[in-house]
Amino acid sequence: MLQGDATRLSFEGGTYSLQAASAAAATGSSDPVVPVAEAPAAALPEPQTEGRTSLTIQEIALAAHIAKDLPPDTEPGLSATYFFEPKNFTFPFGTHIAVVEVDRETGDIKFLRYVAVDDCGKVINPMLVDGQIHGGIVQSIGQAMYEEVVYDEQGQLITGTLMDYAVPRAHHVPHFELDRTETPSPGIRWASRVLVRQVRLVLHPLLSEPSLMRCRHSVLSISTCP
Amino acid sequence: MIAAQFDYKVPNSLEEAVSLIAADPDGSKILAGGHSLIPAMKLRLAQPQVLVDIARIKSLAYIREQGDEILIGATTTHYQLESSALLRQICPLLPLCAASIGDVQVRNKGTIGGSLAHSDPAGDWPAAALALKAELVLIGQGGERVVKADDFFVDFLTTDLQPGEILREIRIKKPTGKFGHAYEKVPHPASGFAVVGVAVNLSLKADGSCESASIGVTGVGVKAYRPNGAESALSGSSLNDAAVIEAASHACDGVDLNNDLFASGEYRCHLAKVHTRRAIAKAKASAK
Ligand SMILES: Cc1cc2nc3c(=O)[nH]c(=O)nc-3n(C[C@H](O)[C@H](O)[C@H](O)COP(=O)(O)OP(=O)(O)OC[C@H]3O[C@@H](n4cnc5c(N)ncnc54)[C@H](O)[C@@H]3O)c2cc1C
Repeated sequence: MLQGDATRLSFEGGTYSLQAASAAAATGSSDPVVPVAEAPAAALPEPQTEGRTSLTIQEIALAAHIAKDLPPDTEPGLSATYFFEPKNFTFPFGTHIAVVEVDRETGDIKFLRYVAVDDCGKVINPMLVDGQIHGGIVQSIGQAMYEEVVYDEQGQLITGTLMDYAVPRAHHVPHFELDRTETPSPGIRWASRVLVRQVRLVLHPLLSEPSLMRCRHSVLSISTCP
Repeated sequence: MIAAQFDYKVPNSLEEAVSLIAADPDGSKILAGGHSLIPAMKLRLAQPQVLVDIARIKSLAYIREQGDEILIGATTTHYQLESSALLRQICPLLPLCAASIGDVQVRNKGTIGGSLAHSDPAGDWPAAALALKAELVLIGQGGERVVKADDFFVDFLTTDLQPGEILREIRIKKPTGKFGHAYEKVPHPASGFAVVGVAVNLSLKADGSCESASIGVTGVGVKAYRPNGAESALSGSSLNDAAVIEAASHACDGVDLNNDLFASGEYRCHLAKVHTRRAIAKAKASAK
């Protein structure tokens, strides 16, 4: 699967939620390839080895490209481009629970547990799926608790270096307790859904305004802290 | 992000270093761990003509006991102080403070001498040096002089070091009798530097009451300082909760408060009080 590379793809919109469709397109596209492969079948060589009744895809591809004995009106080659529209968009879903301790005197937030159960439909590569969730959680913790681009009154960026702009590091984030369910996506052949965004969408409201972050800024009058 | 041009000299001994900077006291700078100086040079906030690298002088890095004192060479790294079994036993405030600095890479390169000489308003060592009433040995062409930590930190990034002088050694009286140490720090989430850092050195009587207390606070003002009101409220007190709360309430008396994006002056002062209280309680609990 190829994404985000304008030098190799004639149409590309970047990596974002609906890229599940690309995975789906990869499977969808195997349909039109089949007739292409069938067309030159008549011209295919006999299996070289005695007793063999099949050909490898390499042998077929070679015959299709060399195009020595193709029937009339048959295009050489063995490739197809296929555009399709899924029956519906795909949506992942899940629930994240952050158990935090707020230091009532300083407003500091400490994670005690972080539990997340997500559903991205059929999991194709579990390592990538976990990675997406780890990344999403960390990015969200950054967004909700640390990261902010700030300019002063003169328009000067005052969070211009990583000594001022905090990106969460390993010691800022809790241990993740992850689990998943697999609910096949009806509109997509591989039944997968795409995950990237959802974690961020879940966590941001969880940790940011109007709940926890208010504590830090209001510890001086701690009674306003929810 | 590219430093201005400079000359780089590597002396083999302290004497050679002293004469190298004496050649151009105003244009030269000592290079130790480089973790404050090099970033400043890359931003061209510092443009020394000559760097005299003392980090390679082996005899300048040591931790040793001598009589009733602990002697620490200026180029001893944060990591060496953090991991010293001797210090953990006889002066735990030093390893506690060292362990709170930056990250492993910073602690492996940065030196106690460099940190004290730089006097960053958010640096950790100045707080510990004040709480331990350290004495700093400075050497120049004219010879040596000894300056108390109390007199060493002068202003924002400014110490009593004169052009041509090198901080050679840090001397600390070995804590005796029943004593307790603690270092409490609120690290900046991006840089790791102290938003507030409080070093407490308590000396206790046999009955657990406070004989004397010295405290160093960093991050809160233009330079690290000792909160006198807090110290005098503690000494002679029973160290019960009320006494500790009263002492901590003086943590930022009379200080011109730092104010930045991460913490307003008011919030900093509030943190200084909370963490002074916690540090005193921790020091008391750790007393042996
Ligand atoms: C990412 C990062 C995070 C950090 N986090 C922290 C932190 O949490 N807490 C903290 O306290 N510090 C922190 N630091 C600073 C670090 O501890 C520095 O190493 C230290 O402040 C300076 O020590 P140095 O040996 O690197 O000195 P250098 O950078 O080499 O020198 C600093 C200054 O002191 C002078 N100097 C050095 N040694 C001597 C000497 N013996 N005599 C006279 N002048 C001398 C130099 O000329 C220069 O002006 C951090 C630095 C970085 C890069």
